[in-house]
Amino acid sequence: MNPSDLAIAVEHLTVSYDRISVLWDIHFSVPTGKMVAIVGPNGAGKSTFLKTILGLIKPLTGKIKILGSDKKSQLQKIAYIPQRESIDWDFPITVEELVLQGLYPKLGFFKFIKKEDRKAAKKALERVNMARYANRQINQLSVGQKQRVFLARALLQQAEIYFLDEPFSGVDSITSQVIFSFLKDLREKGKSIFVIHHDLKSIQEHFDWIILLNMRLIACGEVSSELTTDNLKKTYGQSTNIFEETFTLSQDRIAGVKPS
Amino acid sequence: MTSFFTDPILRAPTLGCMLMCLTCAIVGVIVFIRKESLLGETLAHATYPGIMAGALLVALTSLRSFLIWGLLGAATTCILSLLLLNFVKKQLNLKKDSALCFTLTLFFGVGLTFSSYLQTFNSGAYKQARVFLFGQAATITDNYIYIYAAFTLIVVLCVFFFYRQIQIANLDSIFAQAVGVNSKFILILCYSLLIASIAIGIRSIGLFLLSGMLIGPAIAARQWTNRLSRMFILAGVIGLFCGYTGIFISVQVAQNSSYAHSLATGPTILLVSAAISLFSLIFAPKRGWAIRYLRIVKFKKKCNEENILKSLWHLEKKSSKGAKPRAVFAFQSLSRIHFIILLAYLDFKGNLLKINGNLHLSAKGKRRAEHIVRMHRLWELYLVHIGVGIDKVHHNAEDMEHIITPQIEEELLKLMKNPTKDPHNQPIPTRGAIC
Repeated sequence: MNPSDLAIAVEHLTVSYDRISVLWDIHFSVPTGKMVAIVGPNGAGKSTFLKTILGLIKPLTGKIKILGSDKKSQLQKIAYIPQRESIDWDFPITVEELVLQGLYPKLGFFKFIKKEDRKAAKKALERVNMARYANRQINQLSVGQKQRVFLARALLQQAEIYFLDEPFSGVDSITSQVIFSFLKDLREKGKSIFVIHHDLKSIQEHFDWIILLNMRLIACGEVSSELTTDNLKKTYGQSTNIFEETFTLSQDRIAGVKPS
Repeated sequence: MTSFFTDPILRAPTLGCMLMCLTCAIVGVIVFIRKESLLGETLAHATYPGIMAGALLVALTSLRSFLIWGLLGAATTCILSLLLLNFVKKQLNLKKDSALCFTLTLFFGVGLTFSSYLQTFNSGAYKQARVFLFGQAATITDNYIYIYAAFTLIVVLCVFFFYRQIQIANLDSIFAQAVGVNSKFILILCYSLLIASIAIGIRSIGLFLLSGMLIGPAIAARQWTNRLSRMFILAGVIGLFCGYTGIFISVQVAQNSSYAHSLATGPTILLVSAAISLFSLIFAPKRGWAIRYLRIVKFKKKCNEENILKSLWHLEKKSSKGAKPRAVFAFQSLSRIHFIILLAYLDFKGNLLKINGNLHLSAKGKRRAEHIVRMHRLWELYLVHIGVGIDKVHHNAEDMEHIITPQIEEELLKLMKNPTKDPHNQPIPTRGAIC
């Protein structure tokens, strides 16, 4: 396989906070054009993993190749869609302005927003069926509409890879169907989609590929072959309790708290 | 009016206050969107020991300019308090509000100790330093104006050039970093602007009231717009207006009263800004309290009216003789007086007919009632359509029947292919049917 046919290739990645490793020796690759679920219990390092791929955390060891290259400019090929809870929805910003943020890497510092940029934003909004809400403040939208606006921003980034942080938490079933059908649309166009996901039931139905993560990589591959009870037990099972306890203990030690 | 800008005595205070209010208002917008208004308050109070130290320095040494050293001292302790605040939060594990309170009182306490010492040691310097406590616009000279103007320019240019970064970094820091915004730099920039605007602002409005000036125009501006760019501009304009009006009022009062009566400029400016904020919070067209309250009342009235019409419609179905008001009342959750008033209103609007003491729906009333029943049944059908149990749908539809817009109705019809019966097998009245 050509290296650029791999959406993401992670080689021996170890990430640590304050000398404590939260991700250990992660090694896998995912081909392009897949819908990938990233699954793991709370504290399994999913968001650390996401931040590392986005280039926000420097790994201790290892390499991340995006579309076959580990150059920093490759980061612009990733679009990130945040968790709903991390957004201040009362922020004074309209739907159109939010979508235009997607042009930031292109516009950079001194360039102003031009007419064709606005046109591009409108097009992106049309694709997610949100064009008529362009002038609304972002809180005057339903949950599903909010999600779609962020998708439009990602579209404007013209990314090849989409990372979504728990887009389906607190979303009703109809809305999540709308989001899924939109994501599948992107996949048809050869884009790769990574979703941090909690609902194991819907994985079989909607995803092609699965990454099971719990500090180390449990499994990575086709959903049909890797989503097994054995792997799930390894991901969510009892065996990690000792590790978690030791991890908390070592955090306490470093912070100087007396262990209980 | 123009004399405020040309009069040699009034010119400097007027321009000084306006410039200072402009910068505070613009920086205040950043503070406001970061939800850190109390940080402004803490930092403003933390300037006190710095000012006193500056005054002491000038009194003890051959250094001359209290203006420069006072401002430098203010900025220094401001920065120190910010560092302490971070240390207390991160290393000493205090929660944000406790950390803010602790830092504020600590610095202000040190300042007070300094000032009581200075009072006995060198009362001249103390008097000079006191100007910063409550502000004294009248003694602003042309020298200040140059500093203010330069600084205002810096703030405006920073916000102009870093606008997009400020917007992105404060909405979502992970996205900001992912697209290459240096959020750490933006954070430092925001705090630098805040510290500088505090150091400069306290001269005219005083450190006690400064944080009020930071948030006042921002609160007001937020009520009138949903765009950050317009918020900056609007807050700036409000700031300028507050500065001018504050000076204007205090000078007018001083000139028109016989003697010795005057209004301090700083507090007057603050009161003007507070009045504008309060007015905006209550009367702004979209977010204002008054309009929201009015809408709530209007909606409740609509619901109650429609419920009465609906009950009457059902009763009329059962008996063509119409219904006694008491029978209709039994179905409403209204007080008797409220019911009687509403009934009279419905009658006045031509929704009702009274025949032999019995109530009937007029053609218009019937149309309205059928519309409600139609919405109710359509919604029930929709709920069943999406899989809600048939026993649960009635209650939910009671709330929704008043809300469904023509667009939603259109979508419902399309989805369920123009249904004629509701899930309880009752007919759905046709649209706009006239009896």
